[in-house]
Amino acid sequence: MHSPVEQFAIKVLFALNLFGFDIQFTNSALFMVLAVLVSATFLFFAMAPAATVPGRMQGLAEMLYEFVSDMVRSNVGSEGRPYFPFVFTLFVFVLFSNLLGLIPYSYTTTSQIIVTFAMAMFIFIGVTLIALFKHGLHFFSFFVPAGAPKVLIPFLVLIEVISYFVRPVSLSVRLFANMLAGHTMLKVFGGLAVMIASAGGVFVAGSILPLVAIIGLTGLEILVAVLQAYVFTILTCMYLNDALHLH
Amino acid sequence: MAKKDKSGKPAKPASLSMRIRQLEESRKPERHTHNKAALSSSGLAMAGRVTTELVAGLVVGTGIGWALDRWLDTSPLFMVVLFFLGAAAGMMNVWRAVTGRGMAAGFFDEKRQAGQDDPPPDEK
Repeated sequence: MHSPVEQFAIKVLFALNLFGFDIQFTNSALFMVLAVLVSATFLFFAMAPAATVPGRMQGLAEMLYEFVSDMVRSNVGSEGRPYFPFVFTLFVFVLFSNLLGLIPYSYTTTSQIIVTFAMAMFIFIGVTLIALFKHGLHFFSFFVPAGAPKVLIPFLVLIEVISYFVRPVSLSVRLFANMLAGHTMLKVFGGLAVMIASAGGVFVAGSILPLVAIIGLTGLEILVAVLQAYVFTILTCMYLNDALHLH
Repeated sequence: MAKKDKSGKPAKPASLSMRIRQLEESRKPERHTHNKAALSSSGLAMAGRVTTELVAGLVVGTGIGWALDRWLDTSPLFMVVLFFLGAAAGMMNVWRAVTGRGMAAGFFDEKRQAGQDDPPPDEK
């Protein structure tokens, strides 16, 4: 019997030695490359006709574009336009990583904390740098809550600074934990179905129950995959909004 | 156009410019002051946000404290203090998420929210 967390094991597919660096191409890296390739291919071929009246695939691609565009516009405002390509790439990459992971025998890249943390840290550092370049030292007024009693300010600033540093952690943990929990749950129910069925006899009929549960859970997992990509992106937009406008 | 001509006159430039204005207005970036609509649209997303926000606050606070203790050799002073500060920061983030005030710092938002309705100075 396979353990339900065995699916998260990293396997080295082949090891490269580039300029003295030990680069190992793992199954996680493979699915990152696949997410990029699949999303790029989808967008390329969907938009290839470039028809005025879009077909089905083009309609899908345009919906995706408008969805992210609306998200940037309503959360960041017009100053957010230069950052739209980044936000769009981020959303599509996370979305395709999540969805590709739902295909049987595939690997969910976003179920690795280091992958989501690297993305979150990149966003965190990038957003902080944008704020520093745009507002200079005025940026640090961000940590001083307006209208607070003077006695409390040092205390509140400390809390604000900590809550600022919490951002990359909560951003990455949210995506990672959702993917990890969902996939583990699917495997637990799958294992249960097999175990009950292997008891033989009347029990085979009983294994239908977890099987039905898996069907429902798969639907839920598709929802979670899209939702978490959305949450990851919208929080990026909100951080970007803070960086551009302070308050 | 041919069809429109049948129903009477072609579209007047005045009505066209009016329509363009209407379209532009509807496409104008709404300067959001709070993300209420954006985030409370999904209860599931909110539930996930609140729990991670609470846990992450604690973990980051305690982690910073632990690192400070290791550096300054004051164990366990900073870890204990920052554990509570981290918990406070986590709760602050939860409060922000639930009230839909975005991630901006600060607690006394009523005044600021009213002031934000005027165009902010940094907007051109």
